[in-house]
Amino acid sequence: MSGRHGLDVLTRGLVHIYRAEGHDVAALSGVDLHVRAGDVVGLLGPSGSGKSTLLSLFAGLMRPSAGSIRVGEKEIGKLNERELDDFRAAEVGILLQGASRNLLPYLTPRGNVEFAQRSDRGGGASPWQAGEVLELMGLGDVADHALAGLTPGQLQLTALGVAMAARPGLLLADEPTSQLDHVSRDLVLDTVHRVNREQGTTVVVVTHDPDVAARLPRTITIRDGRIGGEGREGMDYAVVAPDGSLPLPPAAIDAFPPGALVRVHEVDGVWKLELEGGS
Amino acid sequence: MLAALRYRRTQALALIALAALVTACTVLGPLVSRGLEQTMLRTAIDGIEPRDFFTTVRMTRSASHPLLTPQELAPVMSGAARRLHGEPIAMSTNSARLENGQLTPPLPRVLARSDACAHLSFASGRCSTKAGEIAVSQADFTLRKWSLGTRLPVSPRWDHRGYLGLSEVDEQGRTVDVPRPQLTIVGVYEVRPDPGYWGGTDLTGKSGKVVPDGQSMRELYDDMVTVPATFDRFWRGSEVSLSYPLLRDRLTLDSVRDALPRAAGADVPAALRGVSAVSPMTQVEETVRADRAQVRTIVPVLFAQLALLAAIALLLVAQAAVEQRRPEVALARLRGRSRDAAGRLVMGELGLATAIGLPLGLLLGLLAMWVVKATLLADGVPFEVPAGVALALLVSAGLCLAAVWLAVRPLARESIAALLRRVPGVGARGSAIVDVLLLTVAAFGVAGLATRTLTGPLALVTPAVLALGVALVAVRLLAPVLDRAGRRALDRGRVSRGLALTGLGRRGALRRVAPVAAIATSLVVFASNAASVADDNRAERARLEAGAPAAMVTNARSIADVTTAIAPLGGAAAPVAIVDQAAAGSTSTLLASRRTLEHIAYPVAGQAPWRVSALASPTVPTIHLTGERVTGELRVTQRFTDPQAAYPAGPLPRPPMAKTEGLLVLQVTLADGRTVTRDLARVPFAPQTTVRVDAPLLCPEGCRLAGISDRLDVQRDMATDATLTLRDLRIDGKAIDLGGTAAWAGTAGQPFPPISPEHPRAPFEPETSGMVLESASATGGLVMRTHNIGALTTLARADIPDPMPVIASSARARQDSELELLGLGGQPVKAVVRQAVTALPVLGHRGALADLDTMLRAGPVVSDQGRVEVWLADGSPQAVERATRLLADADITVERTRSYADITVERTRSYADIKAAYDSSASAWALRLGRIVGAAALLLASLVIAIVAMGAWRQQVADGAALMASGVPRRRVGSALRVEQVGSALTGAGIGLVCGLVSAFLVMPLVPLFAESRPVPVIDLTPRAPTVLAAAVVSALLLAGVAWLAGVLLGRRVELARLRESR
Repeated sequence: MSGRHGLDVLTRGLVHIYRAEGHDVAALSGVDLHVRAGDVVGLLGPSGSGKSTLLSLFAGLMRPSAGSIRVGEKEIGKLNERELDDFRAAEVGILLQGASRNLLPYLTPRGNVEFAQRSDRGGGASPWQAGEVLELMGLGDVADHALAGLTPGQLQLTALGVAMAARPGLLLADEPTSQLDHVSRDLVLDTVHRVNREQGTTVVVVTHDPDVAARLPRTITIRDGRIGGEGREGMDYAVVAPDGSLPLPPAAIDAFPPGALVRVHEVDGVWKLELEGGS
Repeated sequence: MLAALRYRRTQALALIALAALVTACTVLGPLVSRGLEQTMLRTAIDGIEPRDFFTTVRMTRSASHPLLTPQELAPVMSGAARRLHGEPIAMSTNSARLENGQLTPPLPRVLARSDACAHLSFASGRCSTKAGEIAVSQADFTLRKWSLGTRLPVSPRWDHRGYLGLSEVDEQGRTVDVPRPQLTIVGVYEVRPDPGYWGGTDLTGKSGKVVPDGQSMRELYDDMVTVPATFDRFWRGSEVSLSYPLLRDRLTLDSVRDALPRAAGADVPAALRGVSAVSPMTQVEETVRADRAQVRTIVPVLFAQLALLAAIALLLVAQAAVEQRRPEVALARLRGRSRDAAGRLVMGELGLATAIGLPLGLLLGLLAMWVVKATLLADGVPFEVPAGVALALLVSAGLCLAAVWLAVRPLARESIAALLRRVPGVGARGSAIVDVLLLTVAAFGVAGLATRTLTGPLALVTPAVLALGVALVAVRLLAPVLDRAGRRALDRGRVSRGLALTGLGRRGALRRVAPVAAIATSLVVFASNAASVADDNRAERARLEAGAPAAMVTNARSIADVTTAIAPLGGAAAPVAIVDQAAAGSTSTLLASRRTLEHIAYPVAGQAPWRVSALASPTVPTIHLTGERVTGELRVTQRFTDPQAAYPAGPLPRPPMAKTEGLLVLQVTLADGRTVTRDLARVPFAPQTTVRVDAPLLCPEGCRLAGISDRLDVQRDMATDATLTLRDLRIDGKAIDLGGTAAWAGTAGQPFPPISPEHPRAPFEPETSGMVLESASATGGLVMRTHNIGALTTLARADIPDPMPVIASSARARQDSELELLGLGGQPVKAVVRQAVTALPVLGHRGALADLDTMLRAGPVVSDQGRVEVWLADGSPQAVERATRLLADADITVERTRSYADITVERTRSYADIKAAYDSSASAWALRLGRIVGAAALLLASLVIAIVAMGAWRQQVADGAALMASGVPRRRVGSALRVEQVGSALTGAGIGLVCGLVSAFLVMPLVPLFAESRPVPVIDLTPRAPTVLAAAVVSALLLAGVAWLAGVLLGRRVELARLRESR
């Protein structure tokens, strides 16, 4: 199995505005993010915070209103449609929320993987066989079963296999464990990690589930279209924005109500935030 | 791809079914056209009597071809023509001028026909075997007291071309005259009836009859049968012929032309120039050509629209199918497929389904054609697949491909993000453009049809396009209105209504179902109306041409005889006379009584009722003079004047005034309508005298007194002014009442002005002749005043109006204009138009209708130019039979019966047969297909309603479940679903009714109702409101029923559990 390294993902001042009911709404308002090749990153945040939009922009499903996205060597915003098709065909795997949305209902797991591997441009043979993909997903036994006979976990793994069918450098997964029981959830997460480990694939996962987030080495929290914080190895960090602003973590918001005066100063080489009045 | 089809099996089946229907509708066009054309051909062929089913080529022997044989004519028939005919029958004929001592000798036809002896039986003697031998008919043999061996001398004769014969060709080939050839009777034959052999050659039936020939009468003989050698020995100018019996079974549309013999043109050998050929197929070919033109107009009008409806249904269903494939297209795009490739993916799947439908559609079309053939078309029509079917198959493939492509194309254009949304985005702008385009095309079509400038395919599909365009635009305009109304209803707490209206306004059912329902209803309305309009017009034309429910043409010459014969039938039958003028296109006269017109004759639709009162007979009674002698007294007072004396003397001396006598005559009309004179008395050249009248009348059977005339033979420029008093007039001693002044008319054709102080004398110019009545009484007699410059002055009876009032249908006829027509006896009659109408029964647009009772006063006998008919109020066979029997009992033969429906097929006598003949016209056949087309259209629309409901059931059921979860009772959710479905169908049906009605106005002028157009009766294309309404109601009920059923089924599926379904 020839290896393919994961892809870097780098955004700079990423803005995405969409129009809803006659109004412009900023889904993303200047996101600067760097996901290193081979990383497994979780995107966290409340509904409507912009994480799915960010994922779509990574996948080239939408074009950013401003800013840039670089995936590997490619500037996504500058790719034409054909190049985007090629990009999606070979370099990025997308796992939509809900297993069934990723699968053609009338095909078997093998058929779905093969469908995803088929290129209409005749760009050469697939880097691996559908059977290999399904083995990696642990679905070798049900490769030729009808989808209707699979468990929700198997369906999700099949969807993951379809996303990995072209052996992409970047796997984008939107709520890959939603609607799954714990056993299935763990199985899927294990598989995602195995894919990352064995294929070196960069993985970006959108999730609401704290348990899932806890199993990810790095999480990025999106709030109001910005990066609101980052967690690494169980530690939560606030991320300083390019303009110097610092979004407080949710737990600290009660302590620092809007309009409060905060003194930022260095004490013995340590920077401290101090409310006016001493606390 | 097959897996995808299997997965959505029902949807695939729907697509296959619709593609099959598109194909079936498309291929049915040429199939049905061909079948109808074959039916027309069979009908035309079957209408030919066996005796006429021959193609005959004939030529007269000439000096250059003195011994021409029938067989030498064979090259006139091409090889292709020969294959369609049986073995030819050769015949040679000529007429023999028999020397029997009469001034006008008989000219019996002598003929030699191949194998004739086998088709004759011989009462005595044998068949002729040698030149100069003849067999004669039993009738002639008996009538003329011939015996076997009798020799009939034949004399030479001449005609306008010169010497015809007799001559023979000697051994050196020279033509030499035969001074007195003779025909020897060797047998007495009887004809064995065999129309397939004898054809139109009637050997017998002439014997003993006499026909006028110039100033004399010529006796007819039956044919004399001989051998060809008789014609070789003598008789130049014999006619030779070959009769080829046509083979019915081999005649098809493609071979009709082949059956025709070669024209006497370049492709006929030079030696045969002058040959003539007669084939019934010439008429058949013309008939078929005319029928084909009708079929090829009507059938496409119906089937093109049906195919378009099927294609639109396919498009709508394909659109529904495509919507369900949005996630799959999104997946394909997500996995790197291009827009086109993703589109091709769906195209391939849907295209495969439609491709499967194509051959099935062909089979369905063939099956439908078989049903049409078995149930509608004439027996014996071959089941054919014309080449046009291949083209139709291509067209249907194109239609299916276009429908799928149109459905898929918008999907391929959507972005992946849009595709990932479950509900399609607002693609309204594009579809709005399509709507407007369709409406523009429809408007263009409507304008073209209205101005009669549009023909061809667009004209044919304009009704469907109109319904589609109007429906789409109406739905687009209606949707927001319904949506708002729904929201208002919801605000007011009317949940069911609100949900239904909102569903109608927001969901796709209305947009999909309404156009299809509109087209289907429009098509049903149009087809039903067309059939009804055509039927009415056929009936109207039939009524006009028949005149009455049954009209029996008799050989009677006397109206009186017929009147007496049918008296037992009372008011149910009446005599009618029709007198034609010899010149083509001249005005014919229909003579019918007022009672006939009011109670038996069909009125002519679309024109004012006949003003029969204007035709009424005068109240003046007719005086019938019956007897041998007329007596009376004539008192004369007269003055002789010289009109020229008042003028200046000319260069030439005037001759002296000569004494002369006048003559008083009676004008009497004989039974046959001829008016003749009977001299009453000479009027001496004396100023005052009294003359005894005693003259022969010669009217033992009765004559009508037509008038009294004064005839004066005077020299030029002399005039008399006389007062003539005729008194005590008696016929064989019996006094006759000549009536009062009102019973007499003046000479100018106007009623005689009554004697009064204002008009003491009738004015007339001194230079004209005239007679007026001074007074009339039983005691004083007739006192007439004449002014005569040498002419016949007449005082006419006023029992027959002069001019005769008529109702005229001539294009030139105007109120009070005058025309001349023929009376019963064929005599010219001046007439004045009292009412100008468009058409008259039987006579059509060129005729005059006069009162029979009035005309009968001039005599009951009808001339040879006229015919007596019996019109029956009841056209049933029983009534016809009873009348026929009554007429037969009176020795009146019914020559033929023309009844209500018996217009085109004269030989058909029963009502059922005649009706069948009507239904056999190309137009009727083709329009009858409208029923099938209408049914197919409703079937298609029903299918679409079901498919659309089926296609959207998950969403609708999920929405319903959500509503139930929100607390809306299931009953109301179900009701809303039903109203939504039924509302969509009824909206479409309503639009269809309007569009069908508009199409009826626009397209009907393109539909040929008759093979030949006639000025009357004027074709009435007004839509038939009852038919239109009935068709619309039936369509609406059917479609609403299917929609209601779909709504019920949807409602039953609504369960809260559906909320858990992800998609």
